[in-house]
Amino acid sequence: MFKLINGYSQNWENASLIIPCVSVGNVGQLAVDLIISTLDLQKVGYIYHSAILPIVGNDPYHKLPSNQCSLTTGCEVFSNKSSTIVVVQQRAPIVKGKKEIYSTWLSDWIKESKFKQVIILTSSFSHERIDQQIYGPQLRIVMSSSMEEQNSEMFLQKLKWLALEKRSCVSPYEMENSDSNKDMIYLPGSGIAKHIFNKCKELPVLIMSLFCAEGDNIPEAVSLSNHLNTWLQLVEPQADKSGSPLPCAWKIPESWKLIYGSGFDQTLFH
Amino acid sequence: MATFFGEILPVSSRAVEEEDDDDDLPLYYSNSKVCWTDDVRDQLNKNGKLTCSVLMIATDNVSCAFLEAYLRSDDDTLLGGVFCGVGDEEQLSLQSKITKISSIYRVAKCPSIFVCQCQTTVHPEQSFSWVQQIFSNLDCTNCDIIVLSSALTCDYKSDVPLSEIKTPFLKALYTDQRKPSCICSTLEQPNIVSSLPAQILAYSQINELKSSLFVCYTDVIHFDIPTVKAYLPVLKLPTLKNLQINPDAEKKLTQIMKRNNDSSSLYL
Repeated sequence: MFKLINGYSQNWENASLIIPCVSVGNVGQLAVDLIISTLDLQKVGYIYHSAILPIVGNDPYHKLPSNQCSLTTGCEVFSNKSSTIVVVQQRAPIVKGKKEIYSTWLSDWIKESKFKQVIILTSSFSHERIDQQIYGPQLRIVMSSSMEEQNSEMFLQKLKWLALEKRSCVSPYEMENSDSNKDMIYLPGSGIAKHIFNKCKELPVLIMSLFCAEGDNIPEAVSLSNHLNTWLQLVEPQADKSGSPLPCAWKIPESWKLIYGSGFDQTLFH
Repeated sequence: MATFFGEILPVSSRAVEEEDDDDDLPLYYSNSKVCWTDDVRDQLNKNGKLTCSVLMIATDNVSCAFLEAYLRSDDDTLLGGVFCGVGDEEQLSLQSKITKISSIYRVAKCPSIFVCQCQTTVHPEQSFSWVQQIFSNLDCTNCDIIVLSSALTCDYKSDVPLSEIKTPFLKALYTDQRKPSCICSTLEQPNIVSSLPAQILAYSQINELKSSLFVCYTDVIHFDIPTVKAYLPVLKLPTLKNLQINPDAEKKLTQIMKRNNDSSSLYL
């Protein structure tokens, strides 16, 4: 279920929805963390669903004094003051076997909320790339037909984003019977991205996916956020003294600290 | 797929298969089911919901031992139990000889306090239905929910080296409706809590209930007396101030430890 926090309205007809998928390297979720943290978005609601594994913690974006608590839960919805950007942050994986129930519920919610457009942030296994994906930009996009009508020129010509190469097969067996699968969207490791995309096809939907492998995926998260920013202009792009553009200054959230573990006793190395 | 012997089988490769949702799921994915005693069921039929002023939930064996030693007595009334990971729901009753259960008691010396002890682990996958089952029959709008759980210090992240932190120690999380207490500091990012305690807190946050979670971080796997005693500050909470703790708590605790150690025969 979706629970709106008192005092906020669900008037999102002019809003772009940004939604991450729990995918390889958690790139979508990390990118969304950067966006929420940098734009200082307000928490406007909770998604509470049996398909999302339970998790709670303290405020992930601000450093609070040791006697204060602002609870964060498994899946929350954020928005800016003018309600032009709505962002979902999902912090826990989906219960095995409940992908279908959850993506159906989520796409119904997306349709009911009447968003202007939907942007799905995800990532895909880099070891599954085909030859032409190995070099060059690692971002791939998939557009629904209405998104293609509105923005395809800007994405493909101006921003020079690459459309995901349609695959005809994944396994030797399917290669022999490839007729049935000719225009397949093949994004292994991307979580429920394809499920949501297929269920919301009639809306303007865009999947942005980065090829990556598990590890410290902060560089990929920054790269994905930068790509999104070149289109939506969420954060003022910065330029150096000579005028050439610099990567955006994203604000690293509090919850990203200690990714390599706790502090250690410095006397160990005396 | 071609096999080693050359014949073609109509199966796709597991290695590149995106969907894994059709696999058989283990039994613990099945829903939890609450069973109330006959008295409670009559009361529920009459009044709709049970009310209490404090609901204490012990989610693991350390916190169960704490409640057992300091709060529980033989005079407490059993109200009901939640069965987890039991396939045949229809056949369940409190008399069923099944140990996969969380039991709910009314504390004899202070009848407005309910205590719930999870004797066996409630898996994260079944915690959603566990919470739904318990809270659908309890009116918690004016109730203080206190959740106790434990974790290992090796999972605790901090700027301060672990060697400099005195264990065991208590950390807390609260829903927005509950003002932080001063008995311990709050759990700081990037630390998180998962499974049943998280599910109870998330449910409370969304339904605007007053809940506190106290996590005891310990460095021992088989819990000891200091670990259980780390929860003692919880009894200083304003809502529990008038509650008499068991006079023979120490003795009971020693007994629990003995029982617990007897069952661990690894280093005999």
